[in-house]
Amino acid sequence: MASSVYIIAEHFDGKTRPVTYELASFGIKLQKSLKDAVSFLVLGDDPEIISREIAENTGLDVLAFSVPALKSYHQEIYIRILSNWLKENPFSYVLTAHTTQGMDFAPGLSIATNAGCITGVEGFSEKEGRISFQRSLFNGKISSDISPITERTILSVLPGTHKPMDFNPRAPGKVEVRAIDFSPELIRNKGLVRSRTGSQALGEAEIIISAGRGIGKQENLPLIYQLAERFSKSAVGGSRPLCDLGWLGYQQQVGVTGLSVSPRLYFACGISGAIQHLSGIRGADFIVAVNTDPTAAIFNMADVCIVEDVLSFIPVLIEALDKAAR
Amino acid sequence: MEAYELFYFIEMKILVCIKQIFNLETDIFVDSDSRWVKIRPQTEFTFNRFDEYAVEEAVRIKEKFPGTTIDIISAGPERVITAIKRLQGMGADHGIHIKCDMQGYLSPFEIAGWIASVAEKNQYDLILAGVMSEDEMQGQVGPTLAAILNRPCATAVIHQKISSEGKSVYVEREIENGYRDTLEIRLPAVLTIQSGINEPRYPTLTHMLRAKREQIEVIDSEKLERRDPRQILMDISYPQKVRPAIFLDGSAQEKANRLITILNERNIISSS
Ligand SMILES: Cc1cc2nc3c(=O)[nH]c(=O)nc-3n(C[C@H](O)[C@H](O)[C@H](O)COP(=O)(O)OP(=O)(O)OC[C@H]3O[C@@H](n4cnc5c(N)ncnc54)[C@H](O)[C@@H]3O)c2cc1C
Ligand SMILES: Nc1ncnc2c1ncn2[C@@H]1O[C@H](COP(=O)(O)O)[C@@H](O)[C@H]1O
Repeated sequence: MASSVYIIAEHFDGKTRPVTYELASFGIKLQKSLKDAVSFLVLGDDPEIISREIAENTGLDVLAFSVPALKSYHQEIYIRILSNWLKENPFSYVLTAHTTQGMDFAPGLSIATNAGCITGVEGFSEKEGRISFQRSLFNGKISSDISPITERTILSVLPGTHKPMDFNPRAPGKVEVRAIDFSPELIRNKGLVRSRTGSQALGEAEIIISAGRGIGKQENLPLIYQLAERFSKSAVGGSRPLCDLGWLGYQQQVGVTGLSVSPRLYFACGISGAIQHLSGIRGADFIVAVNTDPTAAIFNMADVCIVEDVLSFIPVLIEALDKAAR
Repeated sequence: MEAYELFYFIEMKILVCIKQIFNLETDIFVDSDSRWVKIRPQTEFTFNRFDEYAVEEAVRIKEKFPGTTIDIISAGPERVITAIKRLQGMGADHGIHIKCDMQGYLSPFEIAGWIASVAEKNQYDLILAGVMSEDEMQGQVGPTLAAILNRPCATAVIHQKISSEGKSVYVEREIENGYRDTLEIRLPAVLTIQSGINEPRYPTLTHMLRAKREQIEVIDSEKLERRDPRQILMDISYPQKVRPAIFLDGSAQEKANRLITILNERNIISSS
């Protein structure tokens, strides 16, 4: 029997998340190598509207599972329903998003379906008929090629690594909706709560000066603010550890679990460039990074790389800026 | 009738999975056969930061429910004992070392498999892991372990509270866009801990001394059930640049001036 590639759509609050279309692009590229059929699986309490939208936009077929208990993402329901389906339907790959959702169910789904599981996938390549998937290691300093040695593999694909292609479907894909009644036994979902009331400051700033653990001590933070004062329409942001430490407010956090920003200038001071941070700054026009480590991953994303100690470099820069402004 | 409050004596048995990693702020080289990385011999080892949050959370549970025991487990070569003892110093009771040589890449499936074999024997009520390891960044060992053990799991946990009967745990998972997902999970369960859930304490001298004296249980991975890997590492390389970057050279002063020129050219700052 022919094998398939299944894409698990990610949606939130009744809307398809953009990463879903990135997954479709990845799936279609993978199909060229595999010649397997690519289709979508959508789960939700009322998945029909988004299923039709996905089928129309991509031309791919969609099988939707309508589960009344599925008000929002639920690990136990996802793994149970998907594994039941996948056990009966041979697959080569299942594509999920490397988000807090995909990361939550992909490993469990792989155990339930006797599949391998590769997370944080950025791309794939084919050498001598063997497909391998690229993912970052060591805080982005090293890239690795991982190859499945089982027939089935669950992948979680890093958002932002695949631009959605022009699907140009000749016709919308077929949509089938199946009602399934399943009540979870081990995990009870008690709903979503808002944990951060976002401030607009970072989103609106044209210039963001961001601090990372490299600034060493909280006492050094004023240096970052002083630098920010030299620019108009600027704001101070930072990496997650600084927010965890309470040195910055969570509304200043840049990255997947913070804000995605798109300023004209993003100035990273003592930030290593972990994928979770980088995904929040892909939209920046221009990136300047200061780091003592010439091999820091932030330098792979930056336009201007400065290998210096932030604590000694920023005062020099501030002085030079003041001199230039006079 | 007398009104009386039910009082439960809760004694949790907790396992925390920890990983030793080397300091990532140093040079990491691709080995000549491109199969794994090489580091300088003097590179220091530390522990995965996310695991420190997991140990702290376990110690807080123990403070709330005295009688709780905490085991710390790590798979790796001899040297991981240092990491186990360091984190034990925060207030954990026992250390377990799964001995394996770890030359190169070991899939999360194999690691989770070994931990599962040990956990099955010891019947833990709660297993904690870090949300991910800073070196391999897979986020897999926790949820894979849960699935092998057939236990419910929540990842990226930013708040937890054991119910008063000790039968379930209330959990908040941090998801994107400033939201948290709230769940009630039946115990025994596995949670992976996100940074920021607490402020990890420093180890105390008494705990460190006890950890130093205490015999760590060593289990040879070869004696545990073998689960064949489902993926292998083909090769590693240095990553490609996303943008055509320039590295500024010269003194700090020269770099600052050059940067200002570049920012001027791009109209990011306007020269007066
Ligand atoms: C599910 C999940 C979500 C996450 N979400 C986010 C997120 O939204 N945002 C985020 O930022 N992170 C997030 N993280 C954490 C992320 O993985 C990294 O741990 C974090 O980004 C690292 O922050 P950092 O670069 O400040 O610290 P580190 O990685 O410790 O880097 C510090 C850097 O400073 C450099 N340095 C040290 N001293 C100096 C000096 N004197 N001068 C100059 N440079 C110096 C070092 O070389 C190093 O590169 C998330 C993680 C997970 C698992
Ligand atoms: N070798 C190991 N020994 C014990 N626990 C580990 C090991 N590797 C990973 N873990 C645990 O699994 C978590 C996630 O690791 P990873 O799946 O590699 O991202 C870590 O934070 C640890 O809690």
